Amino acid sequence: MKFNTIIIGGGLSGLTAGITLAEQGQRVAILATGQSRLHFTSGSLELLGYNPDGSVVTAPLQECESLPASHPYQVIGTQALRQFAPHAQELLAAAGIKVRGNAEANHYRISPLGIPKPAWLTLDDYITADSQLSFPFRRVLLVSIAGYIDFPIALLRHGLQQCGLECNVAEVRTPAIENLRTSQTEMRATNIARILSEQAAIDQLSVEINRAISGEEAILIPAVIGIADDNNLKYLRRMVTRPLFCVSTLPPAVTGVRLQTRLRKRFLNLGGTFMLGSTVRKANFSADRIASVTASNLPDQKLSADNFILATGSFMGNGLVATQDSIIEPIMNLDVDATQGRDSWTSPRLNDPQPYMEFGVHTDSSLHPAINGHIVPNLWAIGAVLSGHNPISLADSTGVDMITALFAANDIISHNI
Amino acid sequence: MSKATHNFFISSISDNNFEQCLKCSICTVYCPVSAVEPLFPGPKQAGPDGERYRLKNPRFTDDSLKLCLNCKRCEVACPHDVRIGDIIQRARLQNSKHKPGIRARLLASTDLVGKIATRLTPAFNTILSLKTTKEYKHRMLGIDRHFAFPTYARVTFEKWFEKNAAKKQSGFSQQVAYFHGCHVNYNDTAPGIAFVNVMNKLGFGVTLINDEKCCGNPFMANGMPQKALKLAFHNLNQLRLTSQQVPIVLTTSSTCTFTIRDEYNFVLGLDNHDVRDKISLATRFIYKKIEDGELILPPVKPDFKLRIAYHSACHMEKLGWSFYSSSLLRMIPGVQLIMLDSLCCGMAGTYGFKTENYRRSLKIGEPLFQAIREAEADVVVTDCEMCKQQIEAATGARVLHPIEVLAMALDD
Repeated sequence: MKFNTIIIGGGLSGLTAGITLAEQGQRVAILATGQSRLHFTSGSLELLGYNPDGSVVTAPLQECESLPASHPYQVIGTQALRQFAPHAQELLAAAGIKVRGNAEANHYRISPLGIPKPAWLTLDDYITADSQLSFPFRRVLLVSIAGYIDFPIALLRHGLQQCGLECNVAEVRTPAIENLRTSQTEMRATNIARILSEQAAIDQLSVEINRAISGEEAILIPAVIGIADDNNLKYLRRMVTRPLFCVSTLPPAVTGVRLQTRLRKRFLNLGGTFMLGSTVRKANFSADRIASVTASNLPDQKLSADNFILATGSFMGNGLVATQDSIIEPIMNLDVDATQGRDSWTSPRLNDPQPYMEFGVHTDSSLHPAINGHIVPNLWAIGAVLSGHNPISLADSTGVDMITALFAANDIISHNI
Repeated sequence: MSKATHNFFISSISDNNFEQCLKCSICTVYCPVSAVEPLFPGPKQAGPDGERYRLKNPRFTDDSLKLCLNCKRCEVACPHDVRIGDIIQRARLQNSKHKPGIRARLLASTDLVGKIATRLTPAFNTILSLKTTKEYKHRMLGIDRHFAFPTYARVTFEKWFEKNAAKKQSGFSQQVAYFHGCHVNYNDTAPGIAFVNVMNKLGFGVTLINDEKCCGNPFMANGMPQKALKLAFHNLNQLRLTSQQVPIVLTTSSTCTFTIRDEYNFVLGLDNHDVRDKISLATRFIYKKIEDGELILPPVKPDFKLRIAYHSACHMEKLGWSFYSSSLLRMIPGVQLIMLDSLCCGMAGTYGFKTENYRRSLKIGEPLFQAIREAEADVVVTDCEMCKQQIEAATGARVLHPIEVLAMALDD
């Protein structure tokens, strides 16, 4: 099998790169072990939420200038951030994902625990507040679904009240959802979303919600509708008597699955090849360049390409592996930025920024990784596998995913013309 | 350039990676049973979560494991390579307290029933389609009355081969062996006949496996591991003998292939490494030969035109081989290929036959049926014979095997 570009990893960064390259007419394959971290994404994407000192970022495009030189945004140059942030939004729109927000100014999303957090882009149907943390309404009805285990209603209500909202709670039950409660452990967002993929079930839900409304100006519901698209959510919004918004839930997140589904569909429609269940175990070199890779489920198949992109993620995706005394990139043993000695990997306080989160593959300014100091010229590393960023303390993970992916894809295209 | 040999991938203590489970629940999102059946606790709960308890005491084995289709979509979705489906299958086979009844024996015994039925066709087909028979099967055996039982061929594939093809096979300089599977032999011989014709046109003679028996998959699915083991032993031996003469063994059934290559080892615990890599689907073999420049696709009928909706069967997904079948179809001039979203049809071998599963089975398949209706294709193409059965019954669409399409397209 011969491709222009092979991307190892099928999450947000891999799909972003894959779509960009396929849009330019490249023959692209994405190889992925399994489904990705996108399934844990709530309704928002983050470019840069906090400064290294912990203060909230209001203007990401300006404040990224003060990031340390090792941060991926600085590695590729903050100009790239300005250039590609609007592209990311266009790419999502082309995949059928409508978002609000921009890179000039962060807005606030509401976390599943009710805490406002700075965000870059938020799915159109979610509750958000502007940069001053003000909402377009004051009195809201927070709807909970009886038996749903991943929606901490008291915390959420408390959080919304802290934000200045008056918040009433109503627990609703419908016959269709009650049936799911037979298996209490399976009362999760994605399972409820399966039930609510039928219009009759939405009808039942809208009746219950309308019955619960008294004087509130808006309705908030857990994001449990719309696994493949947002059609049923739109339908529900038409059926209820107040403006309705979603609140993100604990994973697996329905909107995360929708993001993954839409992006993958877009990639396939552009002619891309997506191979799930294919763990890349080995890269075969010809001199200093990668000639092909081998996947676990296709051991006798050489997967060749001109360009390769490493988008394997961090520790959770096995893009990085911690052994007893070292941090390793397991496919090619690429040079990694990590501190020596296991004791230095973690901070004693859980809520402090954890050093290991910044570990990752070291690259040059074009995102080419190296082996023993020798650059691999036809390999690009993108997304969470990169060193120098911290998805929790800086709230930059999805931004790093998409911006570095767009950077690498455009670099590949410009070299192949 | 690359550093000295290394293996940095996390190795597990268990052979099914169950301790690598992060409890992320992604598998549940992609479980076709969970999507429609609240009684099924989902792959995470039934698999690695339940396994912790079952390892302590087998009495924690739950009857709801039976609801699993063994589609392996949980494994394909798992970010950590946990063999969730294998964990569930093994737990079912090792710990089940139920003795298989007549129905399980009948459904699993594809060879025995096939031998009797093909001798009695068309009478057998007529009897099967009678209302009273359906009613009897429904009430006494638990085979759903709505279910259109597969019809049986008048002449088995093996007999057809012996009479019409066997003699001329020695005239080819290159040879391949063919594991046809029960469905081709007893029910639908067309893919088998197409396979022989295609291979001959490509310059390969075909040899059958001496005394081929059912791969054993239906016995695993119906809780009879001892029978499955016996068949697996037999087939592995026969495959070893055949491959001494003809080292390439080709197949047309994705599930037989998957069973021999993977389930023999992971579920039954047999050492099949020497046989595993010799077995390949015919589409994969042909695609690779063309890609490596060792084969050129012969001319296609000049007026050949076909709009195909390709359905990627569950075990094709697990094998990672849909690429080969769909890419081979794309190589045929005149073919317009639509890739359907990869979804389970709900049949899962004999699962959909059973009264208690029939409705659930159709409900599982509904999103796929909907996609097929919307695709407005001339034919649906899939590598799995049981998907074919289900899709034809549920949608009325004509369903073909990729090798049948190739046979249709090639010029005489």
